[in-house]
Amino acid sequence: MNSEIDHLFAKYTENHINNRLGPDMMKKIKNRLNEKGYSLTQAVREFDLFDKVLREFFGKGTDGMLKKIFNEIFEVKKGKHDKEKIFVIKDKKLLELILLSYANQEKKAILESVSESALSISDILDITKISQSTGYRIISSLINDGLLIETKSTSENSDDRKVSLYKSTISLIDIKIKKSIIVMEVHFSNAIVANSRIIESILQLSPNMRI
Amino acid sequence: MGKIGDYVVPNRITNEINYKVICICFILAILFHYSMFYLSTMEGQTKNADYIIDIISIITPLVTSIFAFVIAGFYRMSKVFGYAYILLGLAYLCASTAELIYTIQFDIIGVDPYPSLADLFFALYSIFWILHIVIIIRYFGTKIERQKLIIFIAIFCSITSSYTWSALYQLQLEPNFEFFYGLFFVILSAITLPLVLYTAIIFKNSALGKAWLLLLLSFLINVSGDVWYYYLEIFDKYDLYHPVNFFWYIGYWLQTYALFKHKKVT
Repeated sequence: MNSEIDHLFAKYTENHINNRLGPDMMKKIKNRLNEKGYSLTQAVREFDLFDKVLREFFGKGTDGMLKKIFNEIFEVKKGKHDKEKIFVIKDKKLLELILLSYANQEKKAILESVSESALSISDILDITKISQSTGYRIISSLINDGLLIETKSTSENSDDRKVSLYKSTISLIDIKIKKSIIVMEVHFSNAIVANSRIIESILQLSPNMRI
Repeated sequence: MGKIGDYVVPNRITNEINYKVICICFILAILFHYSMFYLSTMEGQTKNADYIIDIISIITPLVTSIFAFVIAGFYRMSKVFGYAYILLGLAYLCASTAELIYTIQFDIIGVDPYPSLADLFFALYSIFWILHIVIIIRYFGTKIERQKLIIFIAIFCSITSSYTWSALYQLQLEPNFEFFYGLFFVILSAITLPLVLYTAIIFKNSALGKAWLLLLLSFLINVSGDVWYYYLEIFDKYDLYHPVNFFWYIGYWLQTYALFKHKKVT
């Protein structure tokens, strides 16, 4: 089982591995994943297969390697409430993506409209008063960036057809500036966190982060 | 095994050690060592035997160095493997330079090459090797368990104490300059071996694990040779035909084979 956080972090994980192990090693890993019928991004999202293939190459070294990679993307902190987890974003590109998305008026309106409950695209466009063509383009971009997710539940419209509902991945953002450095703390919904194989692995690798 | 079309997908990536290669390395090292010894006993052939040993001693680490740089090239400037294999290439380049300086001083200038500038490069060889392993451990390593840490410390202590006690026993507990000078190099070797062991444990049961197992074997042989050599130098008993040389030939050749195995994976 995987959640949308995994999708959000998949492409950042790929960049980090490429940077650390070099393109040739990356190619070998990709070839091995292809043999098993997966692309790298798919495998990172599924995670178990990705982890298994890395272990074929690096054995127990995979634990240290994944810990380094994830620590460079984010850090998991305990929240005030029970089982609450706060993600401190460390990857500059990911930080920039979230900041720019919430700085864009139309993207912000869409994300805010679905921060509490999941809505269909037509409902989102009704609430935000964004034109259909622009709205579809922005929603597609937000899904691609992993900031908007398609939920499992669907509702039936007037034509008796099932429609997908969408929800914002991030439920709360806290931005602080410490010594001219932007520190972004992000909260994801508990259900999303609980279903994330990537986060589960990080918590296993870093017992001090276990909540 | 899985199957995609006509291609059979293996369950695991394999990188098996060819034990014939290890046997050949051992046989060649023994043959070379004793043929040179035999040549040196023939009238008027001692100098020729010296030159052949010198050339092999310079070329062997140079070949390993080229191998390491080629692997670094495959990794380009990646922050872990790229940098680590550049350092490894530098390590063997230092070993080759040290052998060259040693040869020039001993055979051309005719001075005693121990201690000399060559030792600086031998020290750099160990230091670059340690840095190579540290880069890999920093990335792939996790917290060391207490049990393993105790084993690593025990290995370090047993290597340094075997040198110290055997030398002090012969020196009747009156250590000279050569003893302390040699101790520095023995300490460097004693640091390297547990680090190689730790890295071999990290990569155990993986495709890279076989290459590190070979490296561990080669370092066991090399470190034994180092301890023996620095012990011999205290009493000025070392020469080019001493069996200790066999340890270094085999060590370098196995390390080159380990690099080849590493390249096969990556």
